[in-house]
Formats: sequence, structure tokens, C-alpha cells
Amino acid sequence: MIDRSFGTTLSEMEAALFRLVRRVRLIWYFSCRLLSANIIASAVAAGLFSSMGALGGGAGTVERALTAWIAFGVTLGFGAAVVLHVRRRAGEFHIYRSHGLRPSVCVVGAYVVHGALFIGCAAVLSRFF
Amino acid sequence: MGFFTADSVAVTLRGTRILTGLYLSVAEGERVGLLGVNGSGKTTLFRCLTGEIRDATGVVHIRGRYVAPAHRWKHIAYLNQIGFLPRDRSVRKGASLFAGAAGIRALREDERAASLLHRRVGALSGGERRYVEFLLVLQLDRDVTLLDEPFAQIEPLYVERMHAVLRNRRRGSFVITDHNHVDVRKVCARLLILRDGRIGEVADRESDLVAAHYLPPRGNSH
Repeated sequence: MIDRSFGTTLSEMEAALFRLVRRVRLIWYFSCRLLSANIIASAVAAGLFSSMGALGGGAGTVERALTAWIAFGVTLGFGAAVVLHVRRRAGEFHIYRSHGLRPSVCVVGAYVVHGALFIGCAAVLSRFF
Repeated sequence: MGFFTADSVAVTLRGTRILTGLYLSVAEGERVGLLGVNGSGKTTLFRCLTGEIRDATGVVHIRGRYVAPAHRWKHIAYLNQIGFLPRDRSVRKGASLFAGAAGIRALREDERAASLLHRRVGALSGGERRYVEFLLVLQLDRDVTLLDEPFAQIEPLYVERMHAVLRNRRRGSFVITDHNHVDVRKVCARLLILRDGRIGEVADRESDLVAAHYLPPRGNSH
């Protein structure tokens, strides 16, 4: 099979591998685009959540705060980040579409990346408190 | 059956019927111009053909084989109207994301695009950005390339270069829409007009475009 999209001749398997690598790279890029907006929006969401008194005092406060931050902050923050991104840069989705990535796949992929990053950060932070 | 055919394409958006079962056929290597007044559905048609609008009906065949909407990206390249390169990144980074190393190579091979590689996309003029995006979309080298207003906002010198690039292409078919019908007619062998949700063929004469209600009658242009 000749696949010209990579500017050279590739076998079917090589082309599929290249496509996969490119898709992973694009999802990573999309995640990075949303990260700063997600951190800000997550912090706001976590602040709102803690101000509602859900964190309380006593043992395990830090763990509970971090859990709350992950669960609510990432969820709400990620939604807000996606909306902001789409409103400002809708045309960019064309890059992902051109490589067979639906916007929904990008969003889910980025959510997984962000979730992993946030959980990793929480795990590291919880060791210090 | 043509090299690329779209049959019974219909779509209704927000309760308005935009396309009503149209048929489009393009031969291999052919460049077809698609004209139509604002709101006639040219961009919507392109988005249906690429599979972007999921509610659209219709079937697409390429080389005689049915291509499902989810797989059309492998065969169809599309230059959208609003641009796609991230404005806060360099041209090089955008090219790399869109088409990998081959994208950067394609820009390096073009004298004017090469000089823009290290500039931020947001700092480019509208015409420069459009030209770079045009080259990147062509670099994908898919079976069919849909160009939505490629000549908009572009200075004559760039337009001439785009004409040359299109004329020199030996592979793939093109469907080009632009309100600058003079430029479209220069590079396209065949003209189509989209009206009332359907496609009709028009001869490459101004009188035919006037008859198709695309151009104003002579002496009544203001």
C-alpha cells in the first residue's frame, strides 16, 4: 500500500503506526492547550466547593481536599476549559478532524490525560502534608 | 460513475433545509468550481462531504467504493473557511501538527512560505496565513481536496502562485468555491452552481452566471 500522507511510501502497518503516533501527539497537544485554563477553572471550582463547607476539619482534611479538587475541580474545570477553548479557537478542531479525530475523542483523551496528571500531583502533594 | 461522487446529499440545520438531495460528480484530476450566493450551502456541502455534519444524509463514493463518513478524512482534504492554524504558535509548529515533517518540508520548498516558518501565526497577515494553510492542505495529497474560499483576502501575487500550484497538480481532484468567480474560472475546467439546495452545471460564460442569478445583469451591478 502506498500512503502519501507522510511524504513517503509506507506499508499498511507502518502507515497505521504513524497515524496512531500522530493521533496520540495531537491528543497530547490538545490536552496541553487546555491545561492552564483547566488549572485556573479547577482552582476556582475547588475554592467554591471548599467554601461550601464540604471539606470540614479533622483528620484526613488534606486528602479530602485533594479528592474534592480532583473530583469536582477537574470535572467542572475541564468543562469550562473546553468551552473557552472552543469559543476562542473553533477552527483548530480542523487539525484534529483532518487526522480522523472527532472533537469528542479529543475531549475524552484530554480528560484522561488531565485526570492522570491531577491524580499524580495529588498523590505527590499528599506525601508532604 | 465518476472518480468522486456524492449522491442524495441532504441536510437540515436548525429546521432549515439547506441541501435537498444533490448530486456531485468529479472526474479524476479534475478541478471543479462551485459557485453560489451567500447562504446557498457551499460550506455546508463541504462539511457534509467530509463527514463533519453527522445529521447529513447521502452517500460518497471514491474510485467506485463507498466511503463511510468516519473514514472520509483518509480520502478528503478540506481547507476550511475560518483557518485552522493555532494563532499563538509558530507556523512551523502548526505545520508540524497538521502534516508532520512533510508539512514543514512543503513550506520550506516554497520561497514565500519558507520565510514565514518561524513567525507566529497570529502575526501573519490574513493572506499569508491563508496561503500557508492552502499549501499544508494540498500537502496532505488526498484523493479529493475541497477548498472553501481559498482566494479570499489574498493579494494578487499569492493568488497567481496558488493558481500555478493548482495547475501543476497532476494527482487528485479539486472542488473549489470562492466568491471571486474570476479566479475560480481561471483554474477550474468546469463550473457548477449551487442554488435552492441543488447543483446545476453552468457554462463558463458571464451570461450563464447572470441567468443563474449568480451575477447581476450587465449595467445593473450597483
